Amino acid sequence: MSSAVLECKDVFKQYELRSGPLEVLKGVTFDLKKKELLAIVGISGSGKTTLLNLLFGIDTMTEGHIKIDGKDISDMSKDDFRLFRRDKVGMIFQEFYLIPSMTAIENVMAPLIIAGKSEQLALTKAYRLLERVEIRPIANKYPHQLSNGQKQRVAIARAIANTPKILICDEPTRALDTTLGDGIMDLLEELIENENIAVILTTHDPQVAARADRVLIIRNGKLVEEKIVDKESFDFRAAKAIYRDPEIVKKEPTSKPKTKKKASTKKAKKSSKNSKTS
Amino acid sequence: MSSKNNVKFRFLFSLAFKNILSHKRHMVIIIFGFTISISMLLSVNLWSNTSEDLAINDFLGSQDFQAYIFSASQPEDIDEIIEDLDENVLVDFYSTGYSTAALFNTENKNFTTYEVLPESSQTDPNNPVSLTNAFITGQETLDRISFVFNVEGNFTIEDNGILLSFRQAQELSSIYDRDIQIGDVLNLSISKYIPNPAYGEIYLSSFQTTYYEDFTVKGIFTINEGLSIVQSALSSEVLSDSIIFPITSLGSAEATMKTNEVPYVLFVKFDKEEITKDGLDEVVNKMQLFSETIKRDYPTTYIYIIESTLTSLINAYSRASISVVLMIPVILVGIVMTIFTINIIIEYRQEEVALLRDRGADTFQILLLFIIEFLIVAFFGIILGIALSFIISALIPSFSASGFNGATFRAFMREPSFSFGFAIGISFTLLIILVGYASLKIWWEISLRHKSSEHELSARRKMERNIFLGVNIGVVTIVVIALIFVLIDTIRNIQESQNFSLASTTSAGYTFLLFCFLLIFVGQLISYLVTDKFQVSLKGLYRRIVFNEAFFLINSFKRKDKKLNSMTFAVILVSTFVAFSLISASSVTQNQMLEADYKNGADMRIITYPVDSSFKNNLSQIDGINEVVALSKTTGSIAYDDYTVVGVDSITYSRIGKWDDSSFAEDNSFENLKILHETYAGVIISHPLAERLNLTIGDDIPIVNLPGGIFHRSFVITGIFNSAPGLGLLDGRNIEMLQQNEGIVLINEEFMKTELEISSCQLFLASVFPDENSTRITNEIKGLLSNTQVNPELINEQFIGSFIDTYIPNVRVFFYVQLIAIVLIIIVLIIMFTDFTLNQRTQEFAINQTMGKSTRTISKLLVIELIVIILSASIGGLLLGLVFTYASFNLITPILTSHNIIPYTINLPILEIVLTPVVLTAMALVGVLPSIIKYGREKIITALRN
Repeated sequence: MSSAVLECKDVFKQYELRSGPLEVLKGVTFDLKKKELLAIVGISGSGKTTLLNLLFGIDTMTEGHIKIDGKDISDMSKDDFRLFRRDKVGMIFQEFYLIPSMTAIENVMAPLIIAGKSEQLALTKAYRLLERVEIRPIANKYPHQLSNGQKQRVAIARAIANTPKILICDEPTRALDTTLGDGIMDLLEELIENENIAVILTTHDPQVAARADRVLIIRNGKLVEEKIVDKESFDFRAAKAIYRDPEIVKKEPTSKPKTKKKASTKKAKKSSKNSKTS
Repeated sequence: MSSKNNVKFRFLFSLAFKNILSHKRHMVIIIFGFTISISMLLSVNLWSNTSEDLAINDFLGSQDFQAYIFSASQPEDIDEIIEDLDENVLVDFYSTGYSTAALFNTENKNFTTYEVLPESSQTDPNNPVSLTNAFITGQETLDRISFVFNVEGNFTIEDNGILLSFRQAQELSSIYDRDIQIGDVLNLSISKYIPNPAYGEIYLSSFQTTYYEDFTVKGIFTINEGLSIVQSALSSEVLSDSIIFPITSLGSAEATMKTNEVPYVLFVKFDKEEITKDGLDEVVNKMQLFSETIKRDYPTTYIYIIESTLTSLINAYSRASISVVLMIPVILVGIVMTIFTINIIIEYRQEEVALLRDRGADTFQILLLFIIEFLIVAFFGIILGIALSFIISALIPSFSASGFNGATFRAFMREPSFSFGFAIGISFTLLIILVGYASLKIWWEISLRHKSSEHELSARRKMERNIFLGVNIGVVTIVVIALIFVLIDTIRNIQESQNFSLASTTSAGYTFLLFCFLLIFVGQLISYLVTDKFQVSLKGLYRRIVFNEAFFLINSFKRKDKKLNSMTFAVILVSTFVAFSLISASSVTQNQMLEADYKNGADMRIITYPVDSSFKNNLSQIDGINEVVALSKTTGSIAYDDYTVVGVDSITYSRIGKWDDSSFAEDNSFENLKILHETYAGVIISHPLAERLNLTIGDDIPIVNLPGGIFHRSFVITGIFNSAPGLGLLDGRNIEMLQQNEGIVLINEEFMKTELEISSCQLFLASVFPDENSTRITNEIKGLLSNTQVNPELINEQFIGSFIDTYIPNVRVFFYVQLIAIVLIIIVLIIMFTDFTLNQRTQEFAINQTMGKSTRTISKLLVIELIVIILSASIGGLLLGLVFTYASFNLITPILTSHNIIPYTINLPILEIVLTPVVLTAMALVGVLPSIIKYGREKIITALRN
């Protein structure tokens, strides 16, 4: 049995636009192991956020398989997806997506209440979580009264409220300065260590990537490089050069890219169905 | 430079049109708001103007003579006046007539010794002379006044014809001992002099008669109670006991009559085209000028014109036009709806405003763009409002108790009296209010954009709140002060008057208007300060319904977003007015029923030809009838004025009549009727008469000119009444029935029979056992005596009241129109608000979904949220409405009725009130369900990116 909590295999995502189909992910394959911090780096528009949305189950793939905790999410019903998002994964968005009409503590209580906890229990746990992310004093403030760093911490507290197995973070340090960013990364590392959570994050920032166990470099919807990070001797410049260098696309990628072009979503779905049958 | 400006404006206009199209849903709502407000205001004005014109036209068209001129001392003046009339363009036609006496059965009597006066003490009571009134005129005149008469046979006096009143025909039948029928040939004497018994002129010779032979009875008539000039000149009582004789048959007698100053009357008909050509407003003035000219040139003449009737008609329509205030709630709700829509549009377009600013547009340019948009939209609203007002104004009077009247609708559509000045005025005012508000709001939002820091924004929000509260509290204070002043005037008017004048109605209108304003601002304060706290306070209830999810529900009610407060305010306001309309409509219905009962006098009001009062025994025999009372009447004079003297068995009348506490003047009661029964020469007089003569119970009052030979008799006052059921309504200004209670006195039935020798009656009142079939009883009564009316229409079509009644709808119509409009508005508002808040919260719902919340739960919470808002706000609104209605109802009585005969009481339609929140909630849910379903289907990722 594999130790991976997440397996992503030949994942394609295509959007139907007025101007024609747009392939955003072109056969992405990778896995995420327990207690691993995996960074996906790539320039804007490379497909990072789309990939995370697929993993979180708020967007649907055109083709491929994603298994989380051994369960293929493409087989899930709408309600299974809901429970999966509630219990298995937590997500931190670039834009934080805090509920503006709720205070920090209420934002953290929300997932607990949704999971069926009583209001009192949810309140106690939410305070503990805010303490954990070191923002208890701002518990009763509304999102518009918080700094970006505080918002991010509330978002993290909310995402881990129901102790998910995987934490998906979309550019968690993007809106933060280096010090705040480091603080968030410290917090994530601590969560991995203490809560047995696996974290997958996207970032532009090589320094953030350097703190991962592994780095996947994505370009034009394809994973073009996989690096095991030697945290002691990681060459930030080299890493940066790698995902910025267009030539790298021509080199042999780590994961096997799918070469067959999809004519349309329907066709892609059909072939996916056929492959399942066979 | 100018072409540059042109380009700029063209660009702004095209951009404005583009924006209107891209926000068409909200723009349609603004158009709807304008349309409702404008149409309501205009339609009442249009209805009032048109109905007044139509009524005046109808009235003038129905009256063949509109004036009579009479000179007792110098009848020859009439001939000179006729010469003047020939040259007067206002006069279309005129006619003359004499009012004298006619005598039958004068043959074989010695004219110089035969005493004929008093009639009951004639020289030969077994072979008496029949004395009656004679109206002598031409056929052409008769043709014009035929509507006054109800004729059996032909209404002609040609070929030596005469017409007999039913009463005279009965008297002649008794004297000649044979039935007098149409075609009978009679001889008669016409009096060339009106004798005065006081001077001993009691003999047949005193009448200076001319004998006419072989006149054929062409018809027998009764009088339709009405408002014709003939009745004004001769009175219905005189005509009811009269004959009509051809003027062409008078011969040489006419000259003597003139010399003897026999009343010679000139009837005048105005030229309708000429008198109305300068507008109906000038009709009364022209008539008055005509009257004054005659009086100036011929000082001894008396002239009566129907101008006073027309004035009362015009007054009635002026009073009715004040009912526009009953539409104020709809207009205010329409304005509130438009303001809320403007708020929503501006919030929707905040991004657009920011973009315009980023591109370098200054505040004025942005404002200009929005103003152009609102002006274009308002223009469409105004045009639609004006168009709709024509239809509503025609519909208002077309719905009567008997259903839809197509003829009235067509008349209003054909000849609308549209006031351009008024339309432009109110459109412009509304435009200034709403566009002014929109400009202020946009300016505020733009200036808010400069405040980037949280601290500044928070300070600005605080300022907004303070301004809002300050304005509300300030307006409430001003309105309360104004209300206190108006209330003093209104209360005095209502308490002192029982027939409401234009002034009291106007003052009641102001009171209602101020109450509406008070309600708007108090409602706003309540929704702003109280409702969200109340909704949050229902935590326990929410937890019982949705358990843990109550957390989200409570959060929704606590939210800073004030749109839910706006919706709450709208529902409170609408529910308040719905409560007002429901209670008012129900109360008006009940009061009108009570009044109808009171006017009828009893369960049944039976009007017949004169029959003996013993006919009541025949009526009593009918199955289902409990008791019957006969009311006989005659006339007498009190302090130089004529009064109707009614003889009645007052004890039975007290049991049968629909008496009310208000029937008696202060400190008087049913005891008055008992005392009258016990006092042979007792009398109950009307309150106005008691006041005029400063008399009270126990005082003596002389009544003169009573029939039966009694010329002077003193009565003891046993009571004072305001109105007696079935005999007419208070104060004598009751234009609906034209029965003057101030002109009525009640006397003991025994006195009437014994002393005045009057036992014939035309009016009986009867009480009916419960659950009896009134149709059967009515048919049986009619079977007893032909030409009998049972519970006749309360408004005689010949009276001015009928001209008013045709176009003034029952006041209930206003409430129903209001209810329909208000409910329409609230549905639109609820859908708009819910859609807006849903749209604003799409992302929030998506975030909840990312945390594992199901769409079903979100929808369920939304539905519960909506139910809580609508139910709590509508219950609050209804309670406020109850307070509002109870506080204002008595003060606005003059708008609801023209008189205060039976004091208006409030009737609470409990079922309708209870159902209102349920119906509103159900309608709101049905209205917003498509929006909830639409948002439920949206993908999480799409909603998140919203």
